[in-house]
Amino acid sequence: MLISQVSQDWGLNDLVTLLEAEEWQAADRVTQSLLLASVNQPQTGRFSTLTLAQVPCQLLHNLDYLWVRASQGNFGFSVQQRIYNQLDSQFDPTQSNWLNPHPFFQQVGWLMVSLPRPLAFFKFYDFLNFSLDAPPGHLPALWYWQLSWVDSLKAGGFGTGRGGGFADLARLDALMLRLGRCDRL
Amino acid sequence: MVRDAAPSSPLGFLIKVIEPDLSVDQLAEEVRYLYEDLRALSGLHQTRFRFCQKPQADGAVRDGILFEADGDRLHSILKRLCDRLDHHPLETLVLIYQGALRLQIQTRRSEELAGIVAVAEAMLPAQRIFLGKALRYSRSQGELSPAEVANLELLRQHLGLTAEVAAQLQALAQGPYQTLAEKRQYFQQVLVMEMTRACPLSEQTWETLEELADNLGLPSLVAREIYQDQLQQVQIAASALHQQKVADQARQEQLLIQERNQQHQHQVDQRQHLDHYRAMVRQALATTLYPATFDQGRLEQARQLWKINPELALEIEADIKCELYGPIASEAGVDYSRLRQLLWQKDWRGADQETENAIFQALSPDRQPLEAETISQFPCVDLCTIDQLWHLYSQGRFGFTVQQKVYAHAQNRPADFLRAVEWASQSVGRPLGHRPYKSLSFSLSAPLGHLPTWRWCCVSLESGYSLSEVLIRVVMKRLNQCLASEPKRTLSPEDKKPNAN
Repeated sequence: MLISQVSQDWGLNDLVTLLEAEEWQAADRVTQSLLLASVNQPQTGRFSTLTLAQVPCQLLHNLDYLWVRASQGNFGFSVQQRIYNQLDSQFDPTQSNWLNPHPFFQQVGWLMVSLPRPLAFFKFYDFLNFSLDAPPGHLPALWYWQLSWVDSLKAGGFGTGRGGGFADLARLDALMLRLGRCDRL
Repeated sequence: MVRDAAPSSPLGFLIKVIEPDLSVDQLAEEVRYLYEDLRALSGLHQTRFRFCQKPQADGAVRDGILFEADGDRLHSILKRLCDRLDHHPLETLVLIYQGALRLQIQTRRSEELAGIVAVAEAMLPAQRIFLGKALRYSRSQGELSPAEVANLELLRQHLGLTAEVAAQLQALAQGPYQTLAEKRQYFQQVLVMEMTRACPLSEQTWETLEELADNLGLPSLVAREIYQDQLQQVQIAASALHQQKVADQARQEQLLIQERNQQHQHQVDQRQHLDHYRAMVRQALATTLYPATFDQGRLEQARQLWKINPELALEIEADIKCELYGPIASEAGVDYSRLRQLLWQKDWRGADQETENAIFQALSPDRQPLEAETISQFPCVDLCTIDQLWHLYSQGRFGFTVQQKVYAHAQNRPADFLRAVEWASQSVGRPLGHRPYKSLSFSLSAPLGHLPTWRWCCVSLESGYSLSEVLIRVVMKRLNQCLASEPKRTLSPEDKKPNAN
């Protein structure tokens, strides 16, 4: 697999190649790398709400365009944004808890258990569906998955990222707000 | 030339009184009588007479007359002399000469003198006599009068000349311009030509012209008269020209005044039209920010009728909108008309979003949330515009100044401020509960200062609309800097109500 070869200095052209080759996981990794580099956070390997709010609109737009084009509209930030906006009006953030996650997470297929009712446990990253059979908006996902081990533990995970942990509404909210603001540019 | 064609040598006369018995005084007197007699003869008054001097013991005394006369005068001169001798016989010497020919007689008897007339006449060729006469006549008046023509005819018969020769001589005497009118015309023509070169004429030129008149046989009196006429005409023309110029000038001035009046009238009209148009715009905008199509059509018709250019019309519309619906001034080049529209429509949520949008346009080109440093550079004009619009449409409930007052009322404690504007849950004592943005109140029933939110410095909203204490202090500092200097505005009663909390 190409994933092991992906390094931080891969650029948009490499992403194009990976997406065309339907190497979704490697593409997700390059995407994450590009996003972090854009806010000067290549070392930390993760986003805070603040850094998410500062990602350049142009980069978000470019990445989204490539993902949407390569996946025939199945993956991409705009796909996630549309799903989020559709579901958000039904959701009361004050009622958010591990038994009542944002419906977005269930919709894009990120939750470990969704039957009989969704629980806010997240899949481990490697168990995400890296194929076009995945639900719309399933990818890119690494921007949400990569956490510091402290945050991972705080979220109820095992210190290895989002996997096994609960939902974190702020991070989702921050990127969606950022996408919304960039739409008006 | 005519003058050259005249006989070059007329007859010379020398008449001397040589009566020995006369005293010096008597002699002088006789000569004077003689002179006067001869001068009185027709055709001789212009002749130059000279006197012969006879030396005496006490100076000189005149004893004779010397002069020249044309051949045709010979007869009358001799006749006069005969008359004199008849009347008062004195020993007289008469010498008639022409060229080398001389005819002299000394007598005191008139019969003897009369006897030489035929001889003397024989001295002159008949043609020359005739020519001389014709020349004299033609020069005296400028043209031949009927009497002169008759005289010439008699002279012709007397001299025995043929009619053809006489006609030739007469034509010669008269020159190319026969009648006075022709001469005048020609002279005038030349005169005008000279006068176009210089007017009035120089003395030298006039002399030359006088010579021309003389050559033409035009009496110098007539020539001068023509000149005076011409001068007068020129003067009349000049004065007419001057008058016309003055009149033109006057007319032009009149036109200018008229034009100025028209322009003034036009300006007045235009101003009236503009006022009228303004009134119409005001009327159309009075109840709505977006006039109905019908009103827009009426305004467009009025605009075209009164020839108001579209830019000016738009400007007027913008001015009146500002007047009626609040100013949208911006230092950062942001168009606040959309914010005004949303506020006018009472779309508080949309207005809040648009406020963020406008602020990003002004301060954050990539639409990243504002940080403390950027906030402290917020353009005061824009801050003031946003504040005024919110203030105006909320009847004084919303806006930055209201938030400022609430903050002051909360003794500048950020946490209390957040509770007062209900951006945080109200329970005192418990940790601040952040409210999701969507749970905020977007209506006029919201607490004072609840809107506009400061979402433009938030990184997330729905997971909790939260503002750090630091940020609140920074924003308030900037608000104080910008809005403190604002002239005190009349606030609605609600604004003055103390905060219930």
